[in-house]
Amino acid sequence: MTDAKPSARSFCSGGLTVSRPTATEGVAWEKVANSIEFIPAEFSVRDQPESVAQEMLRCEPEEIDRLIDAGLPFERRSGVRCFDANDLYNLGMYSDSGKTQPELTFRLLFRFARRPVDDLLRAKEWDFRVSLECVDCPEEAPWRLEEPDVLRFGGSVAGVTRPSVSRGSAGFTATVTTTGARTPVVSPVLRRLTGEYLDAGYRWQMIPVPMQAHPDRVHAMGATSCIAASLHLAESFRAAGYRAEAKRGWFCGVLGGALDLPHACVEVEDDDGAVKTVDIAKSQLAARLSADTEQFQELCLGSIYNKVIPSTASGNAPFGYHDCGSQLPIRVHTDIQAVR
Amino acid sequence: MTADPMQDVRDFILERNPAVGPLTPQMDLIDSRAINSLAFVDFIFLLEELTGELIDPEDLDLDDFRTLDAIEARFFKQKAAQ
Repeated sequence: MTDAKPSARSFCSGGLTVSRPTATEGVAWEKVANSIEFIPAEFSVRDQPESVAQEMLRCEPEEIDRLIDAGLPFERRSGVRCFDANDLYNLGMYSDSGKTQPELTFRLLFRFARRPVDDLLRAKEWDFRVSLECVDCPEEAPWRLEEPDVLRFGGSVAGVTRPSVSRGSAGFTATVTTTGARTPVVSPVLRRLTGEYLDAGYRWQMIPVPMQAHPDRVHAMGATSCIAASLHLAESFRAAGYRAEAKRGWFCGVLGGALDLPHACVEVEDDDGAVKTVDIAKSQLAARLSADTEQFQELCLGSIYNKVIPSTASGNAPFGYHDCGSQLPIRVHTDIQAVR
Repeated sequence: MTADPMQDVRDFILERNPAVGPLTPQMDLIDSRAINSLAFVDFIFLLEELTGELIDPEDLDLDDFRTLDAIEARFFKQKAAQ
């Protein structure tokens, strides 16, 4: 990802350069569209109106026309052109303008990866809240949540409030303490397999969770994502004779809970008998977003750090269930804020 | 930028959401969607520009953005007091 271009408003203060980008100008949207593999129709949900597309991409209406002419899929809903949110994110991420909202968001979120990694190894407390919503709920029933699973990695969970039997909606709250530990993968085989995946040239893209359950389909697009990469890598590790499993979790400290960022990584039993966490997607994204993140990238290969809360959910499994008999999956929104 | 950073904040919100009407110091900017999730990152960059300091996304709390009073207290008065 590039830094803000010179047309951005920028100034210096106390040695810091702060830039607030202005609207995109002169982006070759046709080229960007050609570089993106759009989400296949069977996984695509085109419900984001054109006004959202314009805001996310900082586009004028005529630029949206150009994107559509270049292949951006859309549907008309109540006369309005609507797009898949993942397609818009990926166009923004790879526009190379430095000004689209996806670029700004990721640039902001990955600032931490440039900091000294010791900061990621200390104990850190999070106010963890999950809201559960069963959209087609016929009756009261128990809720089941794949809870934070940090004890194995030196963390703790306190003040837990679990959802009681109810209808429609419920919540889970806890204070979760995460910590880090330098436990790099020691197995040359695991390191080789991980390196081969990182070198394979897959490009990180935002992919719908149901599609990520099919890593081959994601890779066929030349793309990767955290769940797809973790499922694939876990399979590679198992094929090499290791006990490995892709696990879901949450990425913490994301804009005061304004964004809900589920995460996935691989847990593998290393040659030294310890369970290691390979956070391959974060390693790849950090490398893409900033060149000076080598230490963080290395931390992702076996060590644990305090910005991720692992859950008990495997692979691409849902975070929560409601036993009411509804056929629709429940909606789970997680809000994780650092305790001040 | 104006001499009053809070005027820039108000201008930012009204520019993106003219329908929100007159802004009052206590108005809930999140629930009223005067600042929506799409504009949130832009708003953080605006605050960085106005304060001249980088904001750590880990240290943010949505309540810091809930009202104009909260924004002023968190990003401008706190700094002025230092």
